[in-house]
Amino acid sequence: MSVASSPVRSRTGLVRAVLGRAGGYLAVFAVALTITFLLPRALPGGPLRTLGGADVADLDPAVRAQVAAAYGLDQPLPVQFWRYLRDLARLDLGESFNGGRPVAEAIADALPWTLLLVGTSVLLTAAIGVALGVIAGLRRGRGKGNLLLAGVLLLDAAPAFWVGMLAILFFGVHLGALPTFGATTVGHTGLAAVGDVATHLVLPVGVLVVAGIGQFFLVTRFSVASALHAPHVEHAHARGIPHRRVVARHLLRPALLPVHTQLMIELGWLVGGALVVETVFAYPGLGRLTFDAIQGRDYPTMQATFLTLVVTVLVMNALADLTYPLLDPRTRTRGAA
Amino acid sequence: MRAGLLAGRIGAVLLTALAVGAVAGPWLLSTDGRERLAAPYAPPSADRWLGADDLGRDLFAQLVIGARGSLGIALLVALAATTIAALVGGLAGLAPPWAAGIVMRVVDLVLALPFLPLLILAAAFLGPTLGVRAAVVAALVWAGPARLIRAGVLAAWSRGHLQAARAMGASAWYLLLRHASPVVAPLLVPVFVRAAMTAIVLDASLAFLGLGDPTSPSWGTMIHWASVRGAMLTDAWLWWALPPGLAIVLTVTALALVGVATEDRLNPTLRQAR
Amino acid sequence: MSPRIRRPWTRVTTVLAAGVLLAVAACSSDAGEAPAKDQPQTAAAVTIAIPGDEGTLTPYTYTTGYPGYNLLTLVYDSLVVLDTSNEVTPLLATELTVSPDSTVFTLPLRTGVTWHDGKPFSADDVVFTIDYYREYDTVRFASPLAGVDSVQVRDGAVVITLSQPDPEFPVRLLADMPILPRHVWSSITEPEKAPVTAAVGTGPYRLASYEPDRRYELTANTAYPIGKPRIDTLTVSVVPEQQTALAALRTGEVQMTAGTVPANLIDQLSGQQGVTVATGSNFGSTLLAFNDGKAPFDRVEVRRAIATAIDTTDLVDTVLLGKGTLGSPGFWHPEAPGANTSLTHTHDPAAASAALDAIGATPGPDGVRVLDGKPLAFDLLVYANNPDRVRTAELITEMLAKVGVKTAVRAMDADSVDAKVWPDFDVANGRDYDLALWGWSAPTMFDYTRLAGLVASDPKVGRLNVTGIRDADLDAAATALNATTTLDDRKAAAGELQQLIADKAPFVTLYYPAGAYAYRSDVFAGWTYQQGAGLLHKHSLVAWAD
Repeated sequence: MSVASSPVRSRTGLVRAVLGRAGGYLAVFAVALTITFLLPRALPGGPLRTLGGADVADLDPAVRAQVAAAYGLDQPLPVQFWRYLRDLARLDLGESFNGGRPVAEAIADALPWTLLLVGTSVLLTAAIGVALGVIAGLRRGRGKGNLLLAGVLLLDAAPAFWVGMLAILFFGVHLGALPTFGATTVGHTGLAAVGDVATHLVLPVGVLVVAGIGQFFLVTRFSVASALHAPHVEHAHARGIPHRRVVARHLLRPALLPVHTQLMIELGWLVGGALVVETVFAYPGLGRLTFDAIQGRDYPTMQATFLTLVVTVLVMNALADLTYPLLDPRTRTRGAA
Repeated sequence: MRAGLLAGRIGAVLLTALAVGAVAGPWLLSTDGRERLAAPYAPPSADRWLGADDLGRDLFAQLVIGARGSLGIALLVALAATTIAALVGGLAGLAPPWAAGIVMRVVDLVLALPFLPLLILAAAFLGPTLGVRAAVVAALVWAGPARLIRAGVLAAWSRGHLQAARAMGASAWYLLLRHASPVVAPLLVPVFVRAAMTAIVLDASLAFLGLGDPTSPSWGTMIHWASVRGAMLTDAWLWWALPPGLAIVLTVTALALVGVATEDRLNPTLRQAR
Repeated sequence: MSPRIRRPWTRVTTVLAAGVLLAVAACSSDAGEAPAKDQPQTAAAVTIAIPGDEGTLTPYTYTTGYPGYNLLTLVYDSLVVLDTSNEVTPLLATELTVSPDSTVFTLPLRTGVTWHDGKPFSADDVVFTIDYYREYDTVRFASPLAGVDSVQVRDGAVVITLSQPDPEFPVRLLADMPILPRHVWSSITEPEKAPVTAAVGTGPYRLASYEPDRRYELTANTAYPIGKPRIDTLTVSVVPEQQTALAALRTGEVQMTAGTVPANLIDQLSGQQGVTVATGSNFGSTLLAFNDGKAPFDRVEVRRAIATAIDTTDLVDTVLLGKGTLGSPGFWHPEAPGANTSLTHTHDPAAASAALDAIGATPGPDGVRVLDGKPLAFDLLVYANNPDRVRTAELITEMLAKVGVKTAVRAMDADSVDAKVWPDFDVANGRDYDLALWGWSAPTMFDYTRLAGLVASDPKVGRLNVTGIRDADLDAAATALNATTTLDDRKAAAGELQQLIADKAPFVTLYYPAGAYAYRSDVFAGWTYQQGAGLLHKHSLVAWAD
């Protein structure tokens, strides 16, 4: 998956292109903002159960209407939308329908865990995937390379929740070696707490790595294998530069460009959390927060989590676009010309 | 190279076998997987190779019939997503920059859309049927490949004859069909394969989360029931949760092998090296 | 998926039996055995797995009836409490005296009780609490309190006078209503957003810490004068996936799971070293609801025929593996107080077919019967996240197919189903379905007026009338029940109403699933089964002083 960058011819052209891009992203953001507002409200049912709590069925209809009105839900949609935008402009994400907890606080609570869980696994996945991909790429078509390819594909093919269930069964229940749920256990301090967090990470991160390694592996393997016979590499070989240096300098760097794009895409999805794995391992991340908000029709939390997702994807996307020419010597020279 | 070819062949053979099994298998069974034939939770026996589910229905039959659901959704999604991706990506590659910009921002938007509520929405209004699930998954899966295809078309510009054709006043559709399709077509196989892989795993994950249709036969549904009925805590995981999971692994691996083999074959720099 | 089986009515437990009266039928409970040496009755630390977050654990902010309210009752006390056999017994009040006409309730208060912050508890707090719930009426206590004429304090006793006789007042309100500390709650004007600092009660456990969506930590209230908390630190962890929770029970990471154990795992788990599964009745019900206002379900013959086509024994044996009770056609659980035990379900497909033939619903070319030009083919709505109900729906489809009625199971997310069956939880909003698998939670079975609420056609009285039944006989019987002033009369009226429900079949009561809860008896074995409430309540976690 490569990001196409249109050829840029002059400085003013560059400025115009950047402005155009920015305008484009702004437009996408505006539409996304509207969707984050409308989508929760389009879902069947409503937030009454969450608003009214356990007693909702026992409440007088008039009281129930009052509960909804307290959150402005009796207002027409345009008014609600205006309030949403107004609050957002003040960086106020609103309060959860579930107990009135500030949504920003809920996200701030969940975000570090998501970053830890998904961040660790994306980096590990990238590192392992790229390393194996390089090996397989260099040995493409040979026995070992094919064996590696088959192995990685097999691993990668397993659905995360299924691997997670098996992992709990073996490592948790049978071996009793690792905790089966949560991010921490109570009562640890200092170094012990760090160790505690780390042991809780092992299974979910392991599952995410296994489930995600294929993408990086394949992208790397493919581009390394392609670069192996690219003119500049063969030229370098012909000049008598040692193989090792050719691989390091002339082969790997350009070959890793698509990996960079892939990494950006994965990082964009990062804040979306890893719903399935968070659910299986009861890990308190953003994916779970979003899922619970959807189930409870908690509009403010849904809006905020969707928005976080949209913004991160867009930002990472823009970053990928912007950094790609910087990393690719070919597009760089073209831009300067 | 021969080994790569071999991998592709293995994948193709596996896929064919799975497809044949999905199409013909149910005819060979004595049950449709919905009849109650045994005691609930019956363990495997000579008659029932994988035992029975919580209603006493044959699990082996469900595995065979479930292939239809899982491969069906993969096929539907892959077809739909590939078509959309080819059209959108291809046209975006040929359209003037401002129009392409708009299209690509739509792609960005789709990539950023929250997926789960869309699915709930569609399921609530249209029913959680296979077709609806496939449509929702396809509606989200096409976006990534569309980018890839556009990039391919953009690369093709550099070859010049596209520019020449446009200079001669050819329409975008004509360009797409006549000149861009040779560029786009080879990209479609890996796109198709990847969409199929995504669809199978995604659909199974949704079933696991309880967002699928728990009554429609598929491998994901089987794992869902094994999970909610606690099969992982009994010996039943061995015959209830493991086989459909392995079936998914097998299918996805087969698809991946085919995908890798085609990518390798189609890559001009690799072909050179042959 | 998640074990959080969302019931239309999430408050599950607590408003238990009109316990003043009746001996409740025996429940089988492994926990009832004499404690052995390896059955510790106290523990330093116990972790409980719950399926979802429960808010800040105040009467306005907890989330679910079970286990949310149960956790709440560890922090807050009520004036009286239902004991394990569901009899009303003293708690903050030392005694309850009821006037013969069921209008004056006198409750002398216990002395020496303090709030978790050390301030003394007094009658003032009780008066404040009643006023507060009446002013901020977004809690269920508001409705029974609406009938309160006056609240007075005389010689350390609270005297509550009602304007109308309410024989069910002690169970419906006094044993249910958590008492709030005046000095904390008087400054709270938005109770729906009560912060965690408002979770101050007089109960046996204090809320020491709360990490939203992750866990609660409850510590023993050593100053509790009514008994001694049996556990020093009670950690309540959120584990959404039931399978994970049960795995954690096996590994010993948690010592009790709040969710019901699936029937097929009961034997397997009890066989586990150190694990015990306590089972007992649960008064939650599972029904097949008809849309009674819509053809053909407006015809009693059709409803009866469909009811007769259903084999409830098969449902209980297959779906619940026998761990449940057959549905009484009169709705009331046969072991619940006031049950009309003469009612039994008849399964007779031949009779069902004959009845459908008799009204002219003859099979069309595809075998599906046609009535008044329309095929008897319907969608059957069910919560996708409730496995038992999905399976039940599948079996009902099979059973009805045998009598020429076609159903298609439509499993949807809970809110989507609610939006069709019970839009905005107000029956006055109508309904949009043919058939639905529905259920009511246990409290319904402990309040006779709810029986009337199920079938009365006036939406103000028939608040639970999700089937939209409109029948003069049922209306008359419901009105008669609500007009009774003594418990005996009310019980008799309830018996008659059950008979009438069985006859009119506004819905089919299929079964009542049993409760089964697993815990590590090698760590803490003090859990006792309270019928309808399960294990999670004060009686399990407090050694009463006397």
